Amino acid sequence: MTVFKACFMIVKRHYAALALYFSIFMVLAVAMTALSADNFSTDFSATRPAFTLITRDGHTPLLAGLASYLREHGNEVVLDDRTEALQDASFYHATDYIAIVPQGFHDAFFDGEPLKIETVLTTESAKGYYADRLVTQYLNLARLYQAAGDIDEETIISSVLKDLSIEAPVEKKHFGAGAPVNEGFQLYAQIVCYIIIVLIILCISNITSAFRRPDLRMRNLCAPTKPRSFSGQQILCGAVVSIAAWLLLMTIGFALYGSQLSGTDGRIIGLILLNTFIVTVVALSLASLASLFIRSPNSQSAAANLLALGLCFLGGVFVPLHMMGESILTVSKFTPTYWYSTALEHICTLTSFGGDVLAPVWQAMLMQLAFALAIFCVALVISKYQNQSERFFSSIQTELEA
Amino acid sequence: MIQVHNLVKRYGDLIALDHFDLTIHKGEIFGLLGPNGSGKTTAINCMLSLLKYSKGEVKLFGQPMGPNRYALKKRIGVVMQNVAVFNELTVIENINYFCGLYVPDKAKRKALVEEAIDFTGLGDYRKFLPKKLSGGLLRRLNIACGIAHKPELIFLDEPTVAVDPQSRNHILEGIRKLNQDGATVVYTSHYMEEVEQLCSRIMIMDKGKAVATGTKEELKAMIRTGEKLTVELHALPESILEEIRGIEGLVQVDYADNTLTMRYAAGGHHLSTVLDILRRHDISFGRVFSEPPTLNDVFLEITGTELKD
Ligand SMILES: Nc1ncnc2c1ncn2[C@@H]1O[C@H](COP(=O)(O)OP(=O)(O)OP(=O)(O)O)[C@@H](O)[C@H]1O
Ligand SMILES: [Mg+2]
Repeated sequence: MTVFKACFMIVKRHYAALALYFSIFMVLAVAMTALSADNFSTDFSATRPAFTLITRDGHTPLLAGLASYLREHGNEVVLDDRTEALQDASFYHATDYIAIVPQGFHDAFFDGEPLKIETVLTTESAKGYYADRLVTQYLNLARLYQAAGDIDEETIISSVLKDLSIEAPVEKKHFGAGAPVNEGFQLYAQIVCYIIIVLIILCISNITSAFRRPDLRMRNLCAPTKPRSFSGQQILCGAVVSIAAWLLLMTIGFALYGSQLSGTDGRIIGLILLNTFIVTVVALSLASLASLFIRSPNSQSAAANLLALGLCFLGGVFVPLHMMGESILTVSKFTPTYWYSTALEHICTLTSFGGDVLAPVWQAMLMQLAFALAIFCVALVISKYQNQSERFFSSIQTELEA
Repeated sequence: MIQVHNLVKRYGDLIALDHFDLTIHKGEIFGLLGPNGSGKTTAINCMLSLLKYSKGEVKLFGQPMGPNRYALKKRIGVVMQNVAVFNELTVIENINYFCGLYVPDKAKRKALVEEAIDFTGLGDYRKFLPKKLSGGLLRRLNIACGIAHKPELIFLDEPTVAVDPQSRNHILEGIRKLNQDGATVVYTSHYMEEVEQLCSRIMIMDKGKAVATGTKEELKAMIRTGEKLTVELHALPESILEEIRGIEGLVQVDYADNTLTMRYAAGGHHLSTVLDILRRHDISFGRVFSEPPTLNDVFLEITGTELKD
């Protein structure tokens, strides 16, 4: 474990640079959450989305209540329940948001196993997103009342509408066990992805660039330690450091927002933790690839930031996905960070934990893991190739002579 | 201990080692002497299987050496020409790391590390990072990292470049002590004096070839020239210079800058003859030195160029 220990010490000696990034990030995170908390409410109340509610489940008080709630905040666009009509409307931007209530929705809802409402967000998605939030809010609250006990449907609906008509700050206090995720925490979880990537790339490239210095490599090759053991111990150290970074960042997250999370379902918190852990694995794989190309300490932080910023902007970590253009979104899908923010968005809007509700979450997580695996493989192949060419062309020696 | 047979190493068109042969016995301090670019480092790196070579074979401890011969590597210590230590680790951590690659046992290693620190006189610098060390101290750290685990066979590639004379003597003394404790040493340098002082056997290399091998006495006996005589004179008429040139047994006589230099053939002694001639002609002379032949003379005669850079 000599190599493993040495790796640790190398990371330790670079703590100043790491601490700097860390503190910049903390300031950024706190500032961003503070700013956006204001933005959310003002922005949304100003826009009135055009919405369409298609119901295939007859006319129930539950849906009537929903429709009236939506009308209060938006403009209804009535459309026929024909695929063509719906497609046309969304194509010509006649409506921002279409919600299609499936058959049996009402009964399923009151049996405690709600069906998903199919939604189509069109045009400027910010408005559609707002409409979507209205629907989620309404249904969440209705579920809460319904879970509370023997209250008949009419009473539930009227209470819900009454609660919703009270403005935002009060709304939070009314939520019980299933309160939505605190916006600050959600934002923290979102941008934590950036600092995870930067920190891990810096740590790993510090380790590898120390060991790849040509004369040190030669000296290490003289020792009776297998090359595989060298890289194995380096990877192990990288993994331990990554997990430590993850733990630290999560602890800070809870320290900052823990008090506001008391009402949130533990399973949602668990999923958020899992998601950040997965993105940590992705960051580790990215780092192992990037460190193959990072040779000088000067290029290190530039490379780490460039990579992390690029991925985070493209992947919708800094700019919410629903605000990004269609064409960028197609590119985004090829970044692991896109799947990170997608998973996070899904998790934070969860109202129940049925198989098909969770499916997109699992899918986004699997996509991230697939990315991690692919990047690891590429890194492995490239490092094999680099090692070989070094032996053949003796570039070690050339650098020694320099 | 070391057998190298017919080793050929090419860098593209350049032949860095040209059918190189070498045998080193247990208990020797073997010196590889040669000018810059003669292939000393290349030879060592090939022996250690750090470089691929085109042809030839290397046996260490009687067994063929290869990149995966970890059992052999365990018994070897290497001090590279370039300082190869971790910039992030302190003096003691560096030594402990490199020693740890060979000696997993912690208690045993601790004693070895302390011994290496004493050996290189780095006691006051334990907690220093390499960038805070002077060039000479860094060299000493480089040596400590290579020998801390008490190897049976030690390669030292120009370990004393940029080291002040005092530390250099300390290091040479240390190498002698390692040798007395049973280690075989391969030492490269282009400081002839150092090699002459230290090594029991010497190989002179040039352009990737071994030009001569033997003890320093053997090497010096190989060449025509013997001692070199220098006399300081104010004036020397041509006729007398001719007379001196006529002395049998002098291979080379020059007069320039008020100094007369002469070389004897090997084994000759002509000091009194020369001085007699000068006295006879009433020529006053200043200081007179006589030097035994150096390895530089050996190199000069064999290759036709100076070894000194
Ligand atoms: N990687 C390389 N690529 C091409 N040529 C090389 C390489 N390494 C060494 N050489 C050449 O091989 C020859 C021998 O080099 P080597 O380093 O073995 O010399 P050396 O005797 O150790 O010299 P020095 O006293 O400067 O250390 C030199 O001519 C050098 O230019
Ligand atoms: Mg050399």
